[in-house]
Amino acid sequence: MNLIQKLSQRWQGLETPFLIYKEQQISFEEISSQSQIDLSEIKPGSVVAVIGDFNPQSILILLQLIDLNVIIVPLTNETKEQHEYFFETALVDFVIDNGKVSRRKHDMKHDLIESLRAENHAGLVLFSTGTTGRPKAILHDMTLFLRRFETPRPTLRTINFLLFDHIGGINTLFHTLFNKGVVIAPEARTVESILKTCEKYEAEVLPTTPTFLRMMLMSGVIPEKIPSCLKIITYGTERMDQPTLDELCRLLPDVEFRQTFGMSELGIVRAKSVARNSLFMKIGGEGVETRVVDNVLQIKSQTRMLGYLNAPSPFDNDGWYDSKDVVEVENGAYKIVGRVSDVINVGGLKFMASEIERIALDFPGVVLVKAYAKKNPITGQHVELKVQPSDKSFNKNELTLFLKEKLQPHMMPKRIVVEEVEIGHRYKKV
Amino acid sequence: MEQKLKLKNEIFETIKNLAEDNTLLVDEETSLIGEAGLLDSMKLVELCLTLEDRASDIGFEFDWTSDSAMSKSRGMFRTAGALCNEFISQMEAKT
Repeated sequence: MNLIQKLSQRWQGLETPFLIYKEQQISFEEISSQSQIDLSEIKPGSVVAVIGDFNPQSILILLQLIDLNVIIVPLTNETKEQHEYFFETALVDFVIDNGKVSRRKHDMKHDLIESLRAENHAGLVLFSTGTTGRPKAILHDMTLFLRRFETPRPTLRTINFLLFDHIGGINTLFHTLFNKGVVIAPEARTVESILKTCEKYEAEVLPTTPTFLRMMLMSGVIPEKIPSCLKIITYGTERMDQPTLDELCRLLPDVEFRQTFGMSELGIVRAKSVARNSLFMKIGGEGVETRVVDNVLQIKSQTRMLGYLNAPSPFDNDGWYDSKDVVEVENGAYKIVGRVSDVINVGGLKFMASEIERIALDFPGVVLVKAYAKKNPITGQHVELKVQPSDKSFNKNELTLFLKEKLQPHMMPKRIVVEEVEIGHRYKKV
Repeated sequence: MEQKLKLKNEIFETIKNLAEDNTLLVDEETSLIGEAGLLDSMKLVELCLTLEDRASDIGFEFDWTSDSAMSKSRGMFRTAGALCNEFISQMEAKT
């Protein structure tokens, strides 16, 4: 039985919609019975890029391609300028854009893709954000990826905030498909639009990023415009800071805040926040092991990727993956304090960029900050700080005095730049 | 000539402020680092960043972090005069 048949069987007789998209409530049957686009040219084992979103057509194409055992590269219009690089790196044979299939000719081969073809398994290629170089192409065995969804789990009405090209977005889609839930596609990923959609369609879960939550706080919509239907807000994909979480918990006492932890390289890893206002979380789940080496979290997962298509394998001989996340450990729970690359070393004194960001965010009127190291020939590195204030009354000199009071001299930013902190298409700080 | 003198005095004044001692007399021979130096390493970084900003106002890039700057960094940071001369010579070469 193929995937579309299997899901049709699960949804049979159910009147609840599966997808809410552009004000329409669409059942799974309506999705699966849409007129299918002609995929006859595409053979099993081909690599196919799909440019889409969580709309009925893209979802059906995704399911059709899985049943064809092809290697799928989900992409979005937001990354258009990088598509040519993605096509070349993933060795794409076909591109599906707006329901139109076009062929790309090349004579390249990759061992990992060949191994999937030999097994006659579908595959999934996801691209990393590429904050430390060009995005890496992460290849998963789709057959193994889908296996976890066979175990029934509860679902709530969920906004699919994360995008079609993100492991979190794909995970929400399949979780809802397999467990007969309702997924709500946002019209736009702005604070206003997301909150309106939540209210209109009674969303219970809002998966977000810390940057998005900070923007929500900054826009002044909390708590008045947060609909009472919202039970859970999840946040992940980048580090959260305690002042933001504290403020959210204070303003929204009835909302459960949960941290998620996922790495495209490892598949979905289960995480559970110790408390709604705590950044400590337990990381684990079936087939997942964790350990800490030199303050850095390492993870071993059975659902890990097959490998990168454009970089050497990051796993050691025993299968451990170095997350590059610097963590604190408390009663078996982890708190991410930064990335290895965020460690700043000033004249031999090491500290995390996040320690400065945490303090700077406490200064009234500061909404987004980014602390970073700059090289110099005297102390090796020094700190500079980018600050985005909420309004014109912000005073840089007062912030400098505030930081001087709270930071050790070597941690004090030697330059403070007032400008907008750049945010990428995945709502993470760039 | 006048501009150079003005710049030097401006830099000496900045050094005085960073050293947080208004009674100091800063001149060409004033040691910046070392045993008799006025500034610790963090203050020296601050001084260079101030010079970077000043250079940007004038219209050139003050280079104190590149490999070539690093190779001559010992000399250039030794005295107030040496740092002023480096700043001025970069300004003359780049404007």
